Amino acid sequence: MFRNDIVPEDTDSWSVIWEDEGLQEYAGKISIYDDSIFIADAAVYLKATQPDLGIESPYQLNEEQFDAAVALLKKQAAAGLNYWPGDVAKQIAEYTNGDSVVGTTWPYQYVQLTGADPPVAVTAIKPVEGTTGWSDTWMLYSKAANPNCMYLWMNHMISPEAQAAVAEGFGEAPVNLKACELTENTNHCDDYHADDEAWWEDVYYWTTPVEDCGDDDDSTTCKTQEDWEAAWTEIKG
Amino acid sequence: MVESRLMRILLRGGAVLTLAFIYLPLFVIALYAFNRNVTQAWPIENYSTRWFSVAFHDPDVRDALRNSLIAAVGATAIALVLGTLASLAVSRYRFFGREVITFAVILPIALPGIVTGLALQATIIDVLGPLGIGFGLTTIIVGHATFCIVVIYNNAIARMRRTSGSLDEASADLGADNWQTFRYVMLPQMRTALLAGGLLAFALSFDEVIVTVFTSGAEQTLPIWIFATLARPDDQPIVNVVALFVILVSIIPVYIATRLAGSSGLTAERPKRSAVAANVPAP
Amino acid sequence: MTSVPVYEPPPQESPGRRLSTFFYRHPRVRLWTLLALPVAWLVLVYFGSLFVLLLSSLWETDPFTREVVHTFTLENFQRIFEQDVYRNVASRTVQMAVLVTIADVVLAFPIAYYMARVASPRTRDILVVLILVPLWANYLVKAYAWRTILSEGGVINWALDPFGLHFDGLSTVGLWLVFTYLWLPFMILPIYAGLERIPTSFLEASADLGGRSFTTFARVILPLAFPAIVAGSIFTFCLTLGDYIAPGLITSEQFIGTVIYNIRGEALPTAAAFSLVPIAVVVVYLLVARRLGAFESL
Repeated sequence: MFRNDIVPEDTDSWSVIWEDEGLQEYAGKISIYDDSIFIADAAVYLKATQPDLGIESPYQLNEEQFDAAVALLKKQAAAGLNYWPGDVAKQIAEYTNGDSVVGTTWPYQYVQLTGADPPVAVTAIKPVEGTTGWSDTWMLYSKAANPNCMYLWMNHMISPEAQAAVAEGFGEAPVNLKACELTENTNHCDDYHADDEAWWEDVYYWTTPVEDCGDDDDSTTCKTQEDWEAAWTEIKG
Repeated sequence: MVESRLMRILLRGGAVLTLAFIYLPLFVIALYAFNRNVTQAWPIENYSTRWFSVAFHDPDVRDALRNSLIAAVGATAIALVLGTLASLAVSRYRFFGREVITFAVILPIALPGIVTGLALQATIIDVLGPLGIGFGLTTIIVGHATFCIVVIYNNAIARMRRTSGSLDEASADLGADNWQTFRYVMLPQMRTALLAGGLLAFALSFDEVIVTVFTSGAEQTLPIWIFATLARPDDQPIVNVVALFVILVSIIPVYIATRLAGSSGLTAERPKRSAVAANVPAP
Repeated sequence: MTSVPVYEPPPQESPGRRLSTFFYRHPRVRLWTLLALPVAWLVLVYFGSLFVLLLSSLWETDPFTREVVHTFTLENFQRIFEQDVYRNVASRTVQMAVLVTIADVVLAFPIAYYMARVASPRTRDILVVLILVPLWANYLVKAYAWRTILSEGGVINWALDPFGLHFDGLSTVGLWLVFTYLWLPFMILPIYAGLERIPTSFLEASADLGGRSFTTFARVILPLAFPAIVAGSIFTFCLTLGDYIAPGLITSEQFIGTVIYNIRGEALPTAAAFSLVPIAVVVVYLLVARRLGAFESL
């Protein structure tokens, strides 16, 4: 996401927050999600720009791939970043007041900023290199006292009405496509590519990094969640 | 007065500057309470009182306020008992480990809040959980009381140091038992110090969030409610209204306590400047 | 002196009196009766909890679920010592705490002095109320207000803009300002109390002996107020050391509090190991403060 009045409107690549030019231009005003999972976003960019690293999944990184991602992140951190934690009010305030002008975001902040009074002119894109993402899910506690209530709740949450409300409130694609007829914005499902499977192909879904690289070769090992977290503390310095 | 005229003028200037520094942000908070918009942009474009009625009718705010008052009263009460007992022991006895007591009482407020919070949380989960005690108002009160002891203790011990133990002995000689001596001889001497300490303990508990985050579980005190609400972009104005309300309401108890204790009683005990000394004309 | 009446025994020995006599004859028992509750509370609730936390620094976590596994390891301490980031964060935090303390002393001393020695009793009462009331204004609300004030479109840059100036408020300097602001009342109150304890006769004696205003200030007032300044610094220093909310709001730099807060969920043992750093710093600070006589001035 970027502020229209500051960042060129035709920006379509991650390079604006990974390469020197953009890092110098927007130093101190780059907004980054504060979590070790962001290492995967660096890996997504490397996968597209440095194919010789051989990155398949941005969550399964061997030593060399991982080090490349960390080096890229450290270079970025040196430019001066604003980290936004899971509570999103900080990022919204920063974009409103001009403290941040470009960076990663969730659809929710975009919906809030463009729907504010007065609205903040921002554009949200999926970069050409692809991006990371997730699906919201509900879990049932195995020792829940009243599991039937939870099933009723889950039934409610996948109903078209609830799906429409959640999809528009947060800014996401509903899973139940029947919701598409109930959204206030009749184009919501098209805007969020709810029924466009090809669009989601370069969206890499969050997953926990584990030692097994997911290939047939038993000798290769990948960096684990523990390594990612330790590296994240170090990247932030 | 030994301070020269120039020095007095400089001091007044410094005092005014510091006060301005203290009150400028509070003034900004008050202004934003009247901001019609949800986002806090400057300058404020539209003023409105709409958030006052929203805040007033918010059941979460009322629950949080009630919890905060209960927690502060509970923590202050426990701290009053423990702090007074410890101050009596340390001020009236010499014993091995006396210095350690003072150290141990100060430590809970001096150690980083994040460490205290994490430690209490680990204990509640690992030790109290299996015993069937979970997060709630009780754990909040226990945590607050622990770091409130020090303010009671300090105020009480400063006062005890300046009162004579011979008064207690005279009381015993006249046939009073321990309780009567405490009730009729020591307590009247300590009263204003305890009031001052109690007020600080109350304020400390009422505004605590760093440790409370780790001990509260699902219960919300006012600061916890504020913490949660500030993270939601829609409700920030309500927080400003609530904060302004608390500031304004707090003036009453603080003012009354200042009148009752004499301003000096509110910080620590010290001898009153003698009337004679105060009336000596400046050279 | 004795508690046994010399003239005639009281008509009835009440239980309260008998207990008092017992306590008088056994001062150790009386002492420990007084101490039992506070000591038990501190040991069980506080030191017990610290022990539980520090114990977990010796445990491992499951690499996938990140749950604490009760297997002994020294890896957490190894990580703290080997990775530069932890040392950098610790030294950055201590520096910040020192700078905040200095700023608070500079800001607090004039007003405390004015209250204690210059202001009329009425003005002094009003000033005490004015210093105490901000303590009730919520810490978070104040920190968030500062965010707005310091931001690119905030009050400060709005005021500087006409002069062509710009202040990068959401920075380490900005955080220093915010910490200084947040803990200022905790410095003013002890210094005020300390200054008021100085008998006027000392200052008059200094003047009589030929000490000028400045000499009296430097050689009489400052040494006598010093323990109170150290007492106030315990608050400003320690509160800065343990804060994890304000740093995250104002800067992207990491401090001890923010690191512990951020890793506690997934790497509690490492967080617990890192906790030992601020604990050690605070204990040393308190030991020095005690030697300087600060505990009598808290």
